Amino acid sequence: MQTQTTPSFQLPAQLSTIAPEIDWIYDFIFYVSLVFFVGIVGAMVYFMVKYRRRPGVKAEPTGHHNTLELFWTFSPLILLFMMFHWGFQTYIQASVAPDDSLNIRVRASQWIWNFEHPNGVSETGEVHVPAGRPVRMVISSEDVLHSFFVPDFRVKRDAVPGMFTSLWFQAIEPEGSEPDANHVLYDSQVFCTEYCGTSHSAMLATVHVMREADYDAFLAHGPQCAGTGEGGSCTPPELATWGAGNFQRIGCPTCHSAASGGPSAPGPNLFGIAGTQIELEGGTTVTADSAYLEQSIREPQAQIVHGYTGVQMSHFRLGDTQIASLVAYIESLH
Amino acid sequence: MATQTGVAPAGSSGSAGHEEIDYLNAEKGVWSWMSTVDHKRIGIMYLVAVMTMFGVGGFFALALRTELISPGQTIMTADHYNQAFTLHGAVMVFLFIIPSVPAALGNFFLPIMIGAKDVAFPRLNLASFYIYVFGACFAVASIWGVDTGWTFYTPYSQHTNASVLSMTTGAFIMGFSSILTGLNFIATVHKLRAPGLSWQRLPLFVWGVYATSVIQVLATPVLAITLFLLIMERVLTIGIFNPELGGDPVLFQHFFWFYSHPAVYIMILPGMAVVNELIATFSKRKIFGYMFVAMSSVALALLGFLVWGHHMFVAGMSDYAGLVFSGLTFLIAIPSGVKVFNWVATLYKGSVSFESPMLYALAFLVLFTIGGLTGLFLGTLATDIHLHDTYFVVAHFHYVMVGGTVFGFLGGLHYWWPKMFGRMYNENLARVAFTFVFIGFNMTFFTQFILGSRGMPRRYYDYLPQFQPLHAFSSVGSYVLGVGFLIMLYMFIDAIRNGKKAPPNPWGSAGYEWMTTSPPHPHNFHDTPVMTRGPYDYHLATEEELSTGFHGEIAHHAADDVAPPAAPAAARDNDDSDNDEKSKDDDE
Repeated sequence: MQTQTTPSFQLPAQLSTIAPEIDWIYDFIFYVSLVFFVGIVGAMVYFMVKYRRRPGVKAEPTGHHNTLELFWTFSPLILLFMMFHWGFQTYIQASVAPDDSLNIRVRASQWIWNFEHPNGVSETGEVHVPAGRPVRMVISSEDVLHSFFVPDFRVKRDAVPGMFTSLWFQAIEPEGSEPDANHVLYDSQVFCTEYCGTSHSAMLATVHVMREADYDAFLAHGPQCAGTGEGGSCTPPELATWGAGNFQRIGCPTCHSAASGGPSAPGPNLFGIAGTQIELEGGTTVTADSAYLEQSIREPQAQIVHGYTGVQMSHFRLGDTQIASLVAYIESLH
Repeated sequence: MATQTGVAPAGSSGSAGHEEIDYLNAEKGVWSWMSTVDHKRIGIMYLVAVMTMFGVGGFFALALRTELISPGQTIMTADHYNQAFTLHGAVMVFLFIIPSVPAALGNFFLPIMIGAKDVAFPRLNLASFYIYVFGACFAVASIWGVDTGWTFYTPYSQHTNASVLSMTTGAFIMGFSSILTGLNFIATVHKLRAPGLSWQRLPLFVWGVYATSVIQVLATPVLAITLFLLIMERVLTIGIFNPELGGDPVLFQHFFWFYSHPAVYIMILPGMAVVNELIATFSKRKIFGYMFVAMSSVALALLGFLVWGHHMFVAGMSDYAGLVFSGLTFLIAIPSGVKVFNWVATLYKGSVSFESPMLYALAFLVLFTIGGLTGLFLGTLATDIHLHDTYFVVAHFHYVMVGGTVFGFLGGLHYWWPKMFGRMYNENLARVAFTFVFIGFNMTFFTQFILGSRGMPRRYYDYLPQFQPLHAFSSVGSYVLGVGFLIMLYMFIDAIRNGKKAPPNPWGSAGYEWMTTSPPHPHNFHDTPVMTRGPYDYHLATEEELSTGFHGEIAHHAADDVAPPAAPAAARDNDDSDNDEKSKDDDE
């Protein structure tokens, strides 16, 4: 089977090992449908023209044709069985992950995708995966239903609160593709496909597909080293610089301005707050030191700034280094 | 027998009010409508109600398409968008499509087509209408609030704002209307068929509505229980569906689709039922494979109960459950295919004409074929993984629900309009409206198949730039569709005000409902008819009858076969000759 690494008219690029198999079934159904459609509508149009009402020509009485009836009742079953059989076969293949799969935990919450790699490195809104190795996504939800969908890989699975679901894929390395400056071969889009509220359509993420060696380096050095090192040559960037990137990726600017004089709604403006005295709900004040900032990210409802009781900040599940980077970034805003 | 009780009043009232008494002018005033137990008037009240709801649902549809004409915010916020698609879905499903054919056209024509005076339980029929209106009030009261989608999936519907309660209460109440109408129709078909109307002669419209009623009676209670549990969980915080309280959200999906998949057949079977009548009348030929078509309705009704799980292939259900549901889903393709093949075969060696009702029936064939075939992609497990919850699904069910049911409903509305209101509409204008509706519909929804197979998820307020051209094209299509409906609305209003008086049988149909006057007498027929031939026996027609229709044939036989009291019989003879003259006048 030829793998098509660019989108066709009907379907996205085939960037996983299962995609060509699913598309083959899709094409089979498509051509069977096309034949039936042309046959049915063709016959209909032909009869419409041939037997249009003419003066003096009566309709012929309808007879009984049991053989014909039985023929078109039962003969389509053969084609339907083929569709059913191949569909089920490939579905099972797509459901059962190989034993040597790399397990990545996916946590969905309104409206964030969080990913945790086997060694604890975590990412939000993006995930790095190796090409040529089966990856199993173990999915859960923190609040309502979500669904993890990567069109390029032809995979989809609902995230259901209270249970674990999973899917797997093996991303391919397209022939002749070269890693970019960040060691990424290509990006694939992740959508949430189960309606989950206000920002359902903004609940997106990106899969960065890397060569396996680059992925191992990424795992060894954490997300801050993505694209900077290979085989141990990583010099981590300044924590605050990495934090600035995380701030954007996680989606903080949706509610928090980081600019001097920026708006203070829906969430407080974060420019220059580090080290200042902050008035809390209930009349007490607190110094916005790094401990306070960290706690405000981990438990947004613990100490609410005066005037913000009506706003509920989402609970972001972030790795320790990611939180440290955000705190460093906020402290650098002066 | 029930049929004989109908004789005396029908005959006596026929002789009392000699001049053109029909169900519209028999009584006057708003109260006479509100308190009526005449199935025809109740049908008309349903018609007005469902068309109003269609307008509301259509307004939301156009608002949605306008928002989606370009990425980002166009005319409304994300929250308003989410409310708009919820209302579009809930209004169209619960308030328009489900009652459209059965409650409006079915109420009007089912009793006439079996030669009955009314439904079995006329008062219950009126009660069903008021229950529907009462439920609709609850639904409309939640108009700017519910944002769960018409599926009310938990746990989101447990977290979001409280209008969910009034909307689900509305759907809960309307369910009773649906159940009672179904019961009424089942009893009517079993007990009130005119003498001579055997099951083998039953018009296919009646078969379709009968099969629908069986599903309504069996499936709707499940929806009622599901929504009741949802309401109880929210009010009393008992854990049934909400995992935070120990419930299971997938259980809700099982319950919901256990009703809502059969409901798909509650929606499509009546559309198919109408199309049978249209194709037979305008081909002047009995439907090919009558019994296979009739039984395929029953098969769809029964198999429809066993396939709900195909909505949940990626929802966290067991893979083996997926196997079973996929297999059963393919089986359901068979009766649908049988219907389509038989309809096409009916045209063969027919005498086909293309008045506007037939245009809708032929369009139904094309669109339902597309809707059905694209269902194969979704019933196949492997391809459904990719297509589930994308625009492909949206396009698929709009082809079935709009291309199928709504086109069938519109075809029926055009076909029976002269009978219902005694007025003809402007045929040219009807064809113009049809052209707009057909082209606009395909522009809007065919595009969405491609959007979906390319990976565009449904219920998205915003989308990636790569999807913009197709979204914009789809939105333009929806405006063309909207214009078509406005032309149609004008055409029908114009027909009521200025339309030519309709003859009893403008299409030359052999159907029983065309044997009575247009509009029908308050008791449908002047006498209890006796069916001496089938509703599609065009081969018995003379040359003249093929163009002007069968004249009072059923009533003539009434005098011979049933032995009614002498006095009404005499009055009836007068009426018959009167009718024949009148219809000849109209034909000239």
